[in-house]
Amino acid sequence: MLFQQIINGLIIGGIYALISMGLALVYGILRIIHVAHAGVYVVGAYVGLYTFLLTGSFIFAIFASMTAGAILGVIIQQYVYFPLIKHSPIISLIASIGLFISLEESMRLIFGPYIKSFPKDLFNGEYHIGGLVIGQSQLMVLFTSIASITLIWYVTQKTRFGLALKAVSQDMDIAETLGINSKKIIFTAFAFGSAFAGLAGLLVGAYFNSVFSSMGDVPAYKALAIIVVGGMSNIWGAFWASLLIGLIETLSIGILSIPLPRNSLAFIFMILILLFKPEGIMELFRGLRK
Amino acid sequence: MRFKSLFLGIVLSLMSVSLAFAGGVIKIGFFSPLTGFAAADGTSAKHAAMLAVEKINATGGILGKKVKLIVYDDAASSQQAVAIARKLIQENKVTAVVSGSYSTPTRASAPIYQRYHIPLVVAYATHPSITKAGNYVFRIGFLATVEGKAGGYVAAKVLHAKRIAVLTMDNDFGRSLSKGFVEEAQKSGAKIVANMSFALGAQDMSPFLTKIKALNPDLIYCTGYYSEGALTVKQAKSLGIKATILGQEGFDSPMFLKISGDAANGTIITTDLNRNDQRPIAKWFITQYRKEYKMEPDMVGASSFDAVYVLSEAIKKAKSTKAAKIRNALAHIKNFNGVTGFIKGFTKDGEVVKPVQIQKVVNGQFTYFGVVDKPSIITPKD
Repeated sequence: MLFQQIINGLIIGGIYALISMGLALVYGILRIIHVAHAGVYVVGAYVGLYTFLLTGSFIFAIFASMTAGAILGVIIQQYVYFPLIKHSPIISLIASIGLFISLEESMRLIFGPYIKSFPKDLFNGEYHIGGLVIGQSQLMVLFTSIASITLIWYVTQKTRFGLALKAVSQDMDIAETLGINSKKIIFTAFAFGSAFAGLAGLLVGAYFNSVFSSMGDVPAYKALAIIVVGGMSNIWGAFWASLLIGLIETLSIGILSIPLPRNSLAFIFMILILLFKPEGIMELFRGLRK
Repeated sequence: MRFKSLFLGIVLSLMSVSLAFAGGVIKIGFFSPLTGFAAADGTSAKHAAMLAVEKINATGGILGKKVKLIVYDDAASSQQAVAIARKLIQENKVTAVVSGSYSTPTRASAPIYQRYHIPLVVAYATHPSITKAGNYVFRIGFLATVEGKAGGYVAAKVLHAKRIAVLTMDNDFGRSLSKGFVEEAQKSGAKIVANMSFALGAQDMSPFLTKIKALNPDLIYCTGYYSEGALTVKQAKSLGIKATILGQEGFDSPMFLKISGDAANGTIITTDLNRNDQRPIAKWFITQYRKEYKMEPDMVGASSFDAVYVLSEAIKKAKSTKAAKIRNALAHIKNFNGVTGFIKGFTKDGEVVKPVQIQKVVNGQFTYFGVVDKPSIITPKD
């Protein structure tokens, strides 16, 4: 049972990681609390669903949701955050919250208030391995998140873009003097991070077989808690924080029977981190290594 | 200033009755969540209420006047519902009001209708305290504890479950249902092996279900709405759980069937609406709803239809649009043929007495499985 619960927790953690890593990336370069990231997630879910219904191919749906996410992310950055960048970050935050609500409600106006679902034979089946049961939909989420996280790792660690991104997020002015076009880097970072928010929307929509306009409500604030735990702009901190919170949520319900509401756990964890290790969990690990 | 506006409010509400007459229409207020997380239920409720008004107007209206439904969106929020209550009473000057909304907003606004003596008929909000607002508040749907009791009876006496796991949704609705269920099931000799609670909107039920699987119960009672219910059923199947899943009216939605797919088959629920009902009114509602809205009707819709319908019946019986007369007529409604069954009447607390329907999902459709009409179960205690 413990092993089954760990699998359950890792799957949820993988989904959290897809949403919060993009958020950490965006925070890293613009220092904006990008609440509308969860709006991109909702749009990605709808685009993915309708692409699937039209083409019958889940691969196409993945590409469509990522493309839609990237385009929307870039539009938000170009037309909302960029004009506001000279003002206090609070202004961007308020714009972001407004944008998030508008995105969700416009999805409701376009697609209606009812929950949309995938055809019933999509990922409908399970594999028994010893005493363990893994559903097809769980495998799909596990596989797609591992592939995406590997891609994020490759792009941020092994490419020139990744290097430039690091430079821009550390000091934009110095990066500029070294010949990095920071506007281009910000543009690409938004496209890249938002593509995974779109993908996460599709995965969650398919995993729970429900796409609806308010599906971004919980991710909107939980992803914030996760990146705080991970150290705000630290992408890998966000990754480990996601897995950790996914596991803590699942195990606290399934093994320890803690009667606290599930969605509060991420925040309790966030408060603890802010109190004792405000730099994020990566610093905690570093401390342990020493 | 405050006193002035209060005074104005009272005057306006007193004028409401005569103005409704002057317009040649009878205005019925209606509020339901048309945006936000509960928008799907709110929209079904609105559709069905509009259908009821259409039917009433097509058959000559009430007292020779057409009925006009004045619809507001409360977004399932109590603040909005309170503002709407004031607007309906003071600006729109409605004759009576129907709640097509959830417990929280209905509970917050019921005392206002009571204070201004505007009859309020609650369609499907289940919280016990709503009708406690006073004698102008009536409920056409079940009280949560009554339906929970019926569920306990079905589990122990009809399905003969011995070991039961309960999954309680942590809000007014879920908690009152589970309370009624556990009491009745234990009284009938079943053992509750687990009672765990989850939050409204929870999607990942696998940690609960993995734990339940290890306890090996023969029945799982779940008090979620259709989304939580569908995901419970779906994830239980993919974890290889064989126990029967018993739900309640929260599951009663075409969306439940869509989200859970094949996993829904075999699920049993207690609810208000019997899909195989042969009575003309129920058949008419089911066919007409499908035709006009291209959707399967649900219990939320059926209850909202009945709420508007019973109200119009009461106004006809009262032969007047005076609030006090309508209230009296509602209190004395007997053997009313509604879409949600043969309504015996209201208790003196304004709670409905009607049989609880049991439906089972067969081939992806809710179908008749049985009915609970034992008076000791379905009569709400004072």
